Parts: sequence; structure tokens; C-alpha cells
Amino acid sequence: MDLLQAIEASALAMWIKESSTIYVAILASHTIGLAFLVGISSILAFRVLGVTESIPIDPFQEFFPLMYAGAAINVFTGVVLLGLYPADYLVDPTIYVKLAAILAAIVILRRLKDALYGVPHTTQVELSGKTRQMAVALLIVWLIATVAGRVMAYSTPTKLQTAAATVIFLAAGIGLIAMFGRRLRLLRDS
Amino acid sequence: MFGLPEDFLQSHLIEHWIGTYRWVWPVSEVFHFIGLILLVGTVAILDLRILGIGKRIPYSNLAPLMPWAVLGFILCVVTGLVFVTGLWANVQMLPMEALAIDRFLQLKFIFIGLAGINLLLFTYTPVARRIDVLAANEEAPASAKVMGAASLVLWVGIVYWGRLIPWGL
Repeated sequence: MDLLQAIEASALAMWIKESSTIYVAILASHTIGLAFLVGISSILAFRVLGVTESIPIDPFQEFFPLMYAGAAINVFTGVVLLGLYPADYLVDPTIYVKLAAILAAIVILRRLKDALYGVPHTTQVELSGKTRQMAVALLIVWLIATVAGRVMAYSTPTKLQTAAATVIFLAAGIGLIAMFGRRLRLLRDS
Repeated sequence: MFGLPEDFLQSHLIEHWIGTYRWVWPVSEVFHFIGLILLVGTVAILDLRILGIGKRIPYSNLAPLMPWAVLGFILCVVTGLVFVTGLWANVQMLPMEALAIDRFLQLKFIFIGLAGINLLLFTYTPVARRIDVLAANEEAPASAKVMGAASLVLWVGIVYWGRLIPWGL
């Protein structure tokens, strides 16, 4: 605990906290990194699941550098943000849920990439049940990481209520997309 | 402000929900982020293709992404309206007051307006027709590249200013 308080009171941490411009710029950059990392990897998952089937899988890897840039921004800004208030963040179990979900997402993304691009192939990649399972798992762990990240500032009952409400609204949303998705062109005709 | 009543955009119903159910605000935040992820992810891919990344993909093959971008935008607008109309329940400030003093909120709306104008220019000029038929390995015209780059910069700006809104209140 003394170490955490020392990090929190370090000259660098104090400088960032006292400079509102730098602090908010780091916070905003964390959201931009998230949008690129989670956004592009989620679209890859959609493609694997057949939602956006017309996108050829092979050239899609050209978008990966932007995803990696998002990841790099988030690792850097995440470490800095954690270092500003470690005594608060590291005693909150939610941060461990978020970090575990991010770690799981990176592992799944790596395995999905190996499964899709690990062997030479043409633009018509054979998508197995396993790659589809990985795509679903990727979307679930990104959702967990996003929810955990958003609820960190709230009390435990509010966190649990938020998680439950998110699951309910999301299930309702998925149900509506399953019913009306073709009409709204969110899902392909098959 | 703008000759509108000071309680313009204020909703007592939304305020009541936010005050009564503690999860309404954070759930709206979660879905605002989901919308943002869908929107920025799809817009980035469409704009990058115009800029020459993922050039082996014919542009028309990316068309199924558009409805997901629209869904992301709708999620952001609906949850954004929850934040605005129910602002009083969270920070005891009227929406019009926030709009008048929060420079980050103002910048976000300016950037959204510019992104909208950019999209209209893209859609209602011959540029869109040339992009729709862009074949694999074909370069987009320079005018389209300028619009694609502007779109990417504006959406990053919208996310940036949006995240700063609480610090401008």
C-alpha cells in the first residue's frame, strides 16, 4: 500500500493530475484507442460470423496496423491512468475483471488471427465452427471489458445492476436484430 | 440561449429515471460506447479503404458495414439524448446552460456538424458514384481521399471532445 501511495504521489503522477489538459488528453486518447482496437476487431468477428460476408477475409489484415495502434495507445494511456490513482484502482475488483477480459481478448484475437491467416490461403477462407466460437468469445470479452471500464466509478450495487441491465438490453437488441435485421440490412439474406 | 426557453431539452421523465434507477446513467454510458465502437470501427474501415488501405477489397463489398455504422450512430444519439435531457439529475445543470458554457460540448457538436456536411458532400457529388464502383486494387480519386481523411479526423475529434465534456461543465 505504501508503494501504491508513493506512485500516486510521485512527481510525474502529480504533474499529470495537476495539468488538467494532459490528464483529459490521456483519458480521451484511451477512448480513441478503444474505438479503433475494439471497433476493428469486432468487425473482423462480425465477418467471421458471416454478418458482413461480402468482405474478403484475406485483405482485411491490412486494417490490423490501425488495431495495433489502438492497442498501443491503450496500453500506454492505461498504464499512465492506473499510475495516477493506483491505491484506488488496485483495491477495486472491477479493474481485475477489466484486465482479465482485455487479456482474454488479446489471446483470442491472436488465436483467431493464426486460424485465419496462419496458413497460406486464397481469399475464400474456410471458416470453421472453432473460428466462429472464437469470434463470439471475442465479442463477449470486449463487452465485459467495456462494461467493467465504464462502471469503475460507481458503487458495487450500481455496478451489478448496470451489468444485469446491459445483458438484458443487449439480449433484447440481439432479439430485435434477429427479427428485423434482414429488413434493416444489418443481416444478409440467406 | 438562441431565444429558446432555458428548460429546452430538459426532460423530467428522464431525470426521474436517472434519479430513481442508479443504473440508467452507466447503462447509457455503456451503450454510448458500444455505439461509438460500431460507428468508429466501420467509418475507419470505409475511410481507410478510400485512402488506399485494404485496396484489394472492392468498395462495394464494404457496403454491408453501412447499416452497422447507422446503428452505432443511432445508439450514440439516443444515449446522448439521455445524458442531455437528464443532465439535471446528474450535475444539477440545465442542458442549455451546459451548451452555453461547455466548450468541449460545443466543439463536439461543431465536429458532428462538419462530419455531416462532409458526408452530404460525399453523397451528393459525383464522388460517391465513383467510389461505389471502385474495383479491387483501384485508387480512389483525390477528392474522395480528402473527404475520407476529413471524415476520419472529424470522427476521432468527435470522440476526443466527447470524452472531455464532463471537464467543461
